[in-house]
Amino acid sequence: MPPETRKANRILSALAVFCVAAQFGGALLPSLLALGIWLGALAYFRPRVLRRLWLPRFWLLTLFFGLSCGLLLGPRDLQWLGLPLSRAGLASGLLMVVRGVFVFALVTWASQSLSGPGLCRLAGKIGAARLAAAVSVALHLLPELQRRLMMGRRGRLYRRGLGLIVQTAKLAEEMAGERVIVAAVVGPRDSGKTATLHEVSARLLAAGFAVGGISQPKIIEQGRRQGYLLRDEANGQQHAFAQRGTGGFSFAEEAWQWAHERIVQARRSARVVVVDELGLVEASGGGHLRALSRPLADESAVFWLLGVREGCQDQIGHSIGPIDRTLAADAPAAEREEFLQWISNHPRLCGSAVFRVSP
Amino acid sequence: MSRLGSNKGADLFWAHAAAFGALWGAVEITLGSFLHSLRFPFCGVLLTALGVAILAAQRQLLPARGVSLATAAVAALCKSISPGGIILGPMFGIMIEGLIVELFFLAVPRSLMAALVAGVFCACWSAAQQLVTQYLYYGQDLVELYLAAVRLAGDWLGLSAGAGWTALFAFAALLSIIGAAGGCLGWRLGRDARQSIEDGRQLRAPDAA
Repeated sequence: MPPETRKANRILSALAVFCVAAQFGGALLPSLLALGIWLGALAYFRPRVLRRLWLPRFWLLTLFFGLSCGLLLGPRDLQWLGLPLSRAGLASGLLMVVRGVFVFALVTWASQSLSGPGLCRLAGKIGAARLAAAVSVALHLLPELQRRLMMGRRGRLYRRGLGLIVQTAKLAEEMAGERVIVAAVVGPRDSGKTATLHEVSARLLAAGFAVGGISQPKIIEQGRRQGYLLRDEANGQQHAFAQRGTGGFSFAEEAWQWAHERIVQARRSARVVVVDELGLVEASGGGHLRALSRPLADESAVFWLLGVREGCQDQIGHSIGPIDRTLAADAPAAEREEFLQWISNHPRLCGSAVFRVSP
Repeated sequence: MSRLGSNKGADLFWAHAAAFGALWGAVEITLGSFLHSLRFPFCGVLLTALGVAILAAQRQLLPARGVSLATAAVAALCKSISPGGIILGPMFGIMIEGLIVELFFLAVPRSLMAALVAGVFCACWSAAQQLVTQYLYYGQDLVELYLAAVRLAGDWLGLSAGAGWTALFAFAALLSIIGAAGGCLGWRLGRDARQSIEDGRQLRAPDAA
């Protein structure tokens, strides 16, 4: 909140207390004065709130109540257009109108000041961090649930309602679940797995999700693949991994350890763990798979995003559990976008990212 | 599962509060705007009945203490993002409905009777809230004004003093029926949903083994 808005809110809060106190006596003049002060303050500090007071139904009702008081309450001691009216009733009606307008203006200002993010911040400040987190998740789910409410077949209301309740309950169970969701980009060598993984992880990072793990970009020199690097997806740090030699690629032993440490660290600290190039070595239980196959008591990751060589996904699935969704590395852009949306909107990811609130 | 103490339980509690709160918020924003724009009669009471249905259904799926109140808090805060001048009134209404449902299910968890009675009270509250709001806006004189208007209407129509009470009871009975229907619908939806989810789990069980 900008400092000027905060200052204006403080002044308006103090004025609100003063104006409310002025209403307690039940006398018309102090109430009228308080209303004037409050409307003047709104016009100066919050002209937008003042504009929101234009609600014809409310004003008509207020006028109706005011006049009805003159007609129905107190002794009839006044004639106006042939109607017997009461002075005391009219005075009491005027007080009602003044008071009604003041409270309405006060509530409108409070509503505007406390909407959405403001209330969430307030909930967080008063120790209701989990409530604030649940509201953040609910706001994230709102568009999808609105879509589900509007879609579906007409005429079978009970079934539709049942479907909604079941889906909502499953959504909740999924959010609170402990299972790690596994997504894989699958393809043969040089099909663009690493580029796809990097694109997905960069977009998840930009969306605010903590991403860690490693990818394995190629080193291309003179149009020829000369080796591989390891890249830490959390910070972009790189490490030499493999060099082309006379008898093929030679892998640096300490690079395996570097990768292992980064993957395990990512499983402890990130929400999404990227591990690239799970191939024949991993299918036989070695390589980077060793950093994934051991359960961690303090696992914080909820999503593993893997790059898997074509034909190896079944053996890798046997070691780490089922792969929930795959994307072909050469898939068209629309399919990639859908894959990314599936990950970033997955209830497990958006739920766990905020439910695990530090005490 | 009347008390959820572990982290896992707390996660499930808040996940349910978030998911069902979002569902209630979506109903309020989507269906509520639609019905309000149509000037549908008893629109507020209908929305209240749907809210009770959601809470009663949720309570069949997760009978945890406080979950209805937490769900109402989430739904009320979701409601706070809807455009419009006044939101505190509807937010307050949602919170009170959550509190009523919570109190009845606290006494008898998963009970049909609790769902029915909570529905009745919530529907009556929904109608009464308008009067309470007007009282807060205009003060004590409004009550005298209403009583004077009712007396005058009775004189004009030549009705006895008791006829007003009969009309009031008939109106309250209609509201109660709508509210109770919401509670009953939610109770049944919740039981069927629980059954459907358990059936699904049993079907998947051999694969998991």
